[in-house]
Amino acid sequence: MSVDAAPPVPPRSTLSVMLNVILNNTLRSPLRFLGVLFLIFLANSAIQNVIAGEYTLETFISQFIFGLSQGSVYALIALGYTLVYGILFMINFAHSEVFMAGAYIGFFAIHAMDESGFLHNQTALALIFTILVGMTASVVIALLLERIAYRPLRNAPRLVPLITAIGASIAIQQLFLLLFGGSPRVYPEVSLFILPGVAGCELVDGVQVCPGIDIIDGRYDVLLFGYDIRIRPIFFVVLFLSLVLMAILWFFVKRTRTGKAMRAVAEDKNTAALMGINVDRVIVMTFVLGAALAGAGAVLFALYNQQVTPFMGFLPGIKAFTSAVLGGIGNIPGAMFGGLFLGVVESVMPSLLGLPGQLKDLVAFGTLILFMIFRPTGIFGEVITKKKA
Amino acid sequence: MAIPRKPAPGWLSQHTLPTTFYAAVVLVILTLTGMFGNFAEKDVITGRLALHLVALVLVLGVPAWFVVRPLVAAPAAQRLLNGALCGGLLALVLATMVFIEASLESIEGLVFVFQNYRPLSPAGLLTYGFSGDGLVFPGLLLLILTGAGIGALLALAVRLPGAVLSTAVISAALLVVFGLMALQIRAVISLPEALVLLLTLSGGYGVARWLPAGGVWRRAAGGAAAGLVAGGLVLLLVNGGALAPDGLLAADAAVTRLLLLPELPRLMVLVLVGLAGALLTLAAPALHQAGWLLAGGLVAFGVLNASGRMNDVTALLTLLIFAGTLLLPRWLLPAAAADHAALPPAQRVTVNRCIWLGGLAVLLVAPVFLGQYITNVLDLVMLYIIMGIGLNIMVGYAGLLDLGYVASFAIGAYACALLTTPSVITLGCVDTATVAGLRHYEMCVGAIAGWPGIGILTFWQALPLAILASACAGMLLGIPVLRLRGDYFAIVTLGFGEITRVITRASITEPLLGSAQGISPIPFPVINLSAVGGPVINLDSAQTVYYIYVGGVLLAIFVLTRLAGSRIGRAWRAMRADEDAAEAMGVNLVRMRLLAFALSAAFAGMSGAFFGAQLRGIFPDSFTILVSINVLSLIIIGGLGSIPGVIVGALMLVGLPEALRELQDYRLLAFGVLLVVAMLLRPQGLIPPAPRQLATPPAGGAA
Amino acid sequence: MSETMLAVRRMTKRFGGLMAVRQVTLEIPQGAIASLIGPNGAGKTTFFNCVTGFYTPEEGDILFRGASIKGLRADQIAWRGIARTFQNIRLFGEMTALENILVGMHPRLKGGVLAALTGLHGGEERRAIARAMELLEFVGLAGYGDYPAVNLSYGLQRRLEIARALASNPALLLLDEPTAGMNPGETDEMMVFIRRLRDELALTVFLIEHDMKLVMGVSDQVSVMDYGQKISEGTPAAVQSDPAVIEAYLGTVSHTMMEEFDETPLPPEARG
Repeated sequence: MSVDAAPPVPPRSTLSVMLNVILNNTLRSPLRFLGVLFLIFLANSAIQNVIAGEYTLETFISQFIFGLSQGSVYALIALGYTLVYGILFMINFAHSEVFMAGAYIGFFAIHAMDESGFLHNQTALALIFTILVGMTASVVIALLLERIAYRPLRNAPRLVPLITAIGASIAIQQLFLLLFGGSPRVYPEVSLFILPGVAGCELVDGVQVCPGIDIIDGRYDVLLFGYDIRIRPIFFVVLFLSLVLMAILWFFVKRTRTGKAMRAVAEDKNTAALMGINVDRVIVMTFVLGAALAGAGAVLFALYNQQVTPFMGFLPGIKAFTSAVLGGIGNIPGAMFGGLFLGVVESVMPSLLGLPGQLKDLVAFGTLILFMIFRPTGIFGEVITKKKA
Repeated sequence: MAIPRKPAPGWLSQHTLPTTFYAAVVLVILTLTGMFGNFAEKDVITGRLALHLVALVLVLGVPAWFVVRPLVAAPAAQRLLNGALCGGLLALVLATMVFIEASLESIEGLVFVFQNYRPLSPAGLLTYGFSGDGLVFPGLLLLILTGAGIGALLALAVRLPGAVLSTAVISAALLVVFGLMALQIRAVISLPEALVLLLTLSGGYGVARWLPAGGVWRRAAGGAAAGLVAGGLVLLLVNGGALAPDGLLAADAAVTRLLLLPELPRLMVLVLVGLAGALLTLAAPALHQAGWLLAGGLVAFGVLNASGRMNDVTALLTLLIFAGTLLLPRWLLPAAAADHAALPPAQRVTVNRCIWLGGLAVLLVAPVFLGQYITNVLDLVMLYIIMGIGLNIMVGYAGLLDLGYVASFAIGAYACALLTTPSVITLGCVDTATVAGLRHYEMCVGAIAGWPGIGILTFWQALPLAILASACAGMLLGIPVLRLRGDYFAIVTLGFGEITRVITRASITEPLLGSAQGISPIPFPVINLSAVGGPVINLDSAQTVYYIYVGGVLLAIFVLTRLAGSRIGRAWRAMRADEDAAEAMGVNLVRMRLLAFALSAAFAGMSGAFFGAQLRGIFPDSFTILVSINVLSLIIIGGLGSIPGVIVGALMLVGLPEALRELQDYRLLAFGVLLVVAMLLRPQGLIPPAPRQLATPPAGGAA
Repeated sequence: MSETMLAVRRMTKRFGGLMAVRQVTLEIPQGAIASLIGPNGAGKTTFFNCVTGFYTPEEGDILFRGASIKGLRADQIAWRGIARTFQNIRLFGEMTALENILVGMHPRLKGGVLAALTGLHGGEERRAIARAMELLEFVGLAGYGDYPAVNLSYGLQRRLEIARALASNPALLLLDEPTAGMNPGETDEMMVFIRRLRDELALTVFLIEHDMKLVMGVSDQVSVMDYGQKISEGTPAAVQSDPAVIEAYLGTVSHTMMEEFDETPLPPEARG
C-alpha cells in the first residue's frame, strides 16, 4: 500500500469557499439575523397598522379570546400527539381522524338527544353525555389503531409506522365518508343558561323571566377597557374545560402509578420492561389518554363550529401537531402552551399585519418556521446536545 | 357475538370463530356503507354478473379462506365443516341484516345515519331476487346456503396446487377488471390483429425452442424466419381481400393499425415480434412470464373488441385466455430458465439488452394501442415515478423525511405555466385595472409593444427554467431546515406543503397565480422539426405527452442509478445511516443536504412542468398534501431507495386506483387499507434495494 | 522523532457549568503511538471530539502539523488528514463492508454530480474499489467485502471501522477504545495490529484505551487524564510509577486493575 505523506488537500474553488463560509461557519447566525430582520419588518407593519387605526384594541381582544379557545382545542389534540411521540417516537398521523371520529359520533349522540327532547330538558347532562360519547368513540378508534396498525410494527424502521398511520388515516376518513356520507352534519343549536338574573330580567307575557347567561349559543356585548366587545361565552367554556382536562392529565402523569410507568417507558422501554412494567399496557394507556382528550376537544370544537365532516380532522390535526412541535414534541406543558400560542397567533396576527384572513394558515406555518430557526427543538424541548462518539 | 374462551370442540379450529367474528364486523360495516346496493348497478358481465355479487363472494370467501388455509393438512370433513361454518355464519349475519331491513317500516332513520345505504330487500339483491312478503325467507335461506357453499368449496380448493389456485384467482381478478373497464378498453386492438401478433410470437418462440441445438444466433434467426413467414401469410391474406368487410381479417377499422400499415413496415414489425418470441425462450423467469401475460392480454383485448362488451362468451374466453397464459409458461418455464442460466455471460448481457430494448419498444408503441383512458393512467403513473425517484433522493438516500414535496412540484408547475402562458401579468402589456375580469392571452397578445415578456416561451425553453427555479427554491427552502433533525424536519416540510396550498389559493396572489381558477389554458408543447424538413408535432393529447413522460422517467432512472453508485450517493447513504460518522469521514453534511434538496426538487419541478403541459392548465386543487403523501407512500411501499420499487409502488398506489375508477370512493378506502396491510406484511417494502456487489467481480456476468 | 503531528495547547471545553476538559496541553510527535488513559468520565472522549471537530473548545488551540484546526468542522478536519473510530462502533449498517470503506475515501475522491452522470469518474471508481479491497485484506476482512456491515461479527466490525478510517490516507489516526469488548486473545492481536499501522503505514496513532496491557505494551507516550485535567504524562514506565496516577486510579478503580497494572511487562524500549 502506498503511503501518502501529504495530507489530502480539498480542492477549493472560490465559489465553494464562499459557499462554505456562508452556509457552514456562519449559517446559524445570518439565518437568525434574517429572521430578526423579518420579525422587525412584521412588527413594523403591525405598528403601522395600529397607528393607521386599522387595528383596534377591540378587535384584538375579541380575536385574542377566540384564539385562546381555538388554541385550547389545538392543545387538547396536541397532547395526543405529544404523549404518543414521547413514548413511541412516532408521529401518529391518524390522530386527526381520532379527533374527527369523536366529533362525528358525538353528533349522533347529541342529535338523538335533540330528537328525544332530552337535550332541552337536561341540557347540561346531555352535553356532558355527548362529550363522554365523543371521548369513547375516539378511544375506540385509537385502540383499534394501536392494535392493528402500530403494535405489530413497534420494532420496524421509523418510516414504516408513519406510512401505516397515513394509511389508517386515509382509511378511517374514507370509511366515515362511505358510512355517514359527505354532506356536513350540523350540531343542533343549544342554549344552556347559568347564573340566572345576571343578564337582567324581563317580563314575558306578564311573567318575570331571568334567563341568565347562555354559555353555549349566547353572544353578548360587554364593555371591556372602555370598548364594546362582542363575546361568546362558549369560548371561555371551551378554554375552561380544556384547562381542567389538561390539569387532570398533568396530575395523572405526575402523580399516579400509571403516570410514573408512562414516564419510565418514555425514558427507556427495555429497562422499564425489566422493572416489571407492562409496556404494552402503558402504551395502550397513552393512546387512550390522548384519544380521550382529542374526543373531548372534538365535541367542544363542534359545539362552536357546528359543522362536522369526515375531513374536519385534517387541519386542526396538523395545526395541533405544529403546536406540539412548537412546544417541543414529547413535552406535555409544551403541547399545552404551543396550542394556546398557535391559536392566539393565527387568530390575532393576520389582521394585525393587515393580511386577509385567508392567510391565517400561512401565518401558522410561518410561525413554525421562524420558531425552528430560533429554537430548533421547540419552546420547552430540551436542547439536544449532539451525542457524539 | 362473543369469542368463546373455553376450548372448542375437536372438529372446530380455534381460528374459525374469531376470524368469522372479525369478518362479520367488517361485513356489517361494509354493508352499512351501502356497498352491495351501489355495486349492483355496475355490471362485470353484462346481464349476468354485477359487481355486488363479486363483492359478496369476496366478503364471504376471503375469511373462509383464512379459516381453511391453516387446516390444509386436516381431514376433508374438518375442513368442510369449518369452511362452511365460517361462510354460513357470515351469510347468516348478512341475512339477518336483510331481514331487519325488510321488516323495518321505513329505512329513513337508517339512511339518516348511513347516508350511502341502499336498500337490499326490495330488489332482492342478495336473495336471488326473492323479495316481498313471505318470499324473503327462501331467499335468505339460499343466501345462507350460498355462504356455506362458498366456504365448503374453498375448503376443497385449498388442497389444489398453488399454481392452479393463483392462476384461478389472477384470471378471475383480471376478468373482473376487464369487465368493469370494458367500455374504456374495448378499442385497444382488434381480434384478428391480436391473433396475428400472438401467432407470430408463439411461432418465433416455438421455432427457437425446438430448433435442434439452438444457440442464441440460430434462435434469433429462427424467430426472424417465423416472423417472415407470418408476414408472408398476412401479405397473402391481405392481397386476397381478407381485410374486406366480410374477409378473414375484417375488423373494426378504428382499431386496425398494424394490418393497415404499408407492406414493408408491417413485415418488419412481424419479424421483430418473431424475434421477440425467440428471445423469450432465453429470458429470465419473471420476464418470460410477463411476456406471455402481455401476449394473452392483447388477445383478451381483441376478444373484447370483437364482442364490443363483456358478455357470457367473452367472459369465458377472457378467463380461458388468462388461465392459459398463466399456466402454459409454467410448463415452458423450466427449459427457458435453464437456457437462460446456461448462456455465456457475454451473450446473456446481449440477450438482456435486447429484451430491455424490446420492452422499451413495447413501452413506446403502447399508447398507440391503449387509447386515451389507459394512456392517461400511464401518464399519471409515470408522473409519480419521476417524483418518486426524486423524493427517493431525499428520503431513501439522504435520509431526510420530506412531507412537503408537493411544494417543489407546484413551483415547477407554476413556473412553467407562467413562462409559457401569455397573461396580463407576465407580459405586462395591459394595465390590470383596465382588464379587470379579463384574463390571459386572448386580450393581451398583440398589445405587446417591443417587449417580448416572459409569458411566451415555448415549453422546451421554459422547462429548464422551471426545473432550475424548482431546484433553487428547493435549496432556499432547505436552508432554514438544514440543522433540524428527524421529525422536526418532517413537520416543517409539511408546513411548506401547506403554505403552498395557501399561497396558490389566496386572493393576494390571484393576479399572478390565478387563485382557484389557476392558470389555463397553458399552450401544449410543440416539437417543431420544420427547420430540418420534419413535421411539426403537437403534443396535445395523453398519447403524445406520454413520450415526454417516458423521456422524463428514463432520465430520472439514469440520474438516480448513476448517482447511487457514485461517491455522492454513498455519501448520502452514509449520512442517512449515521450523520456523525459520515461527517467524521469527511462528508460535508450541509453541502450534501443542499445537493439532495436541489436535485430532488428539480425532479419535482420537472414533473410539475409536465403535469401542467398535460392538463393544459393548473389549479390549486392539484397541489394538496395528498400528492406528498402519495409519493412518500409509494416509495416506502416499493422499498426505500429502490428504482423497481418506485415503479411497482407507483403502479400499485397510483395506477391501480386510477384504473379502478369504477369503484368510486371504495378505492380510496382500499388505498388506505392497502398501505397498512402492505407495511404489516412487508415492512422493508416490496422490492428493497439489494446490497451492491462490488467486491465480487461479475464472474456470473450479471448485466 | 522529528515533527510534531498534533499539538494541543491549554484546551478547555465546558458543558454548561461542567469543565469536561480543563487547560490540557498535549503533544504527539510524528510516528508515535500515544495513549490517553484515565478513569471513566475523565474527559478522554470529549478530548477526542474536540480534536476531530465535533466540539469546539472554548479556550486554547489545536495545531495539526503546525496549522490550527480549532473551529473547523469535523469533515474539514477529516479532509486535513485526521481519521477516527468511535467508542461504540458506528458503521453504516446497511451498506456493505466495501462501501463503508469507499465512504471513508470520500475526501480522496473527486467525483461530483457531473462526473457521476457522465461516467467520467469510472477509472477513479475502479481504483478506489481496488484500494478498498487492499484495505479489507490489510485488516483481515478479505472476502467480506459484499457483506452488509451489520451482518459482520463484533470483532470484524471493529476492524472494518479501522479500515474505514484508514481509507482516507490519514496522517493521524485516533482510536477510541479499539479493544472495548474484546477478549484477551483479540486484544493481543489488536496490539500487533496497532504496531503494524505505525510501522507499515507510517501513521501516527493516538488511542484511548482502558486495557492497561495494551496501553503499556504498545505506547511510546502515555497521558493520563482525571476530572478533565492532564495529571501525568511520559513513558509507560514513568506513568506507571507516578503517584498522582496511582491515586487517581485507586480512587476509582478496583485493585485488580492495579494488579494488572503491575504485572504488565514493560515493552523493550520502556525498559531500556
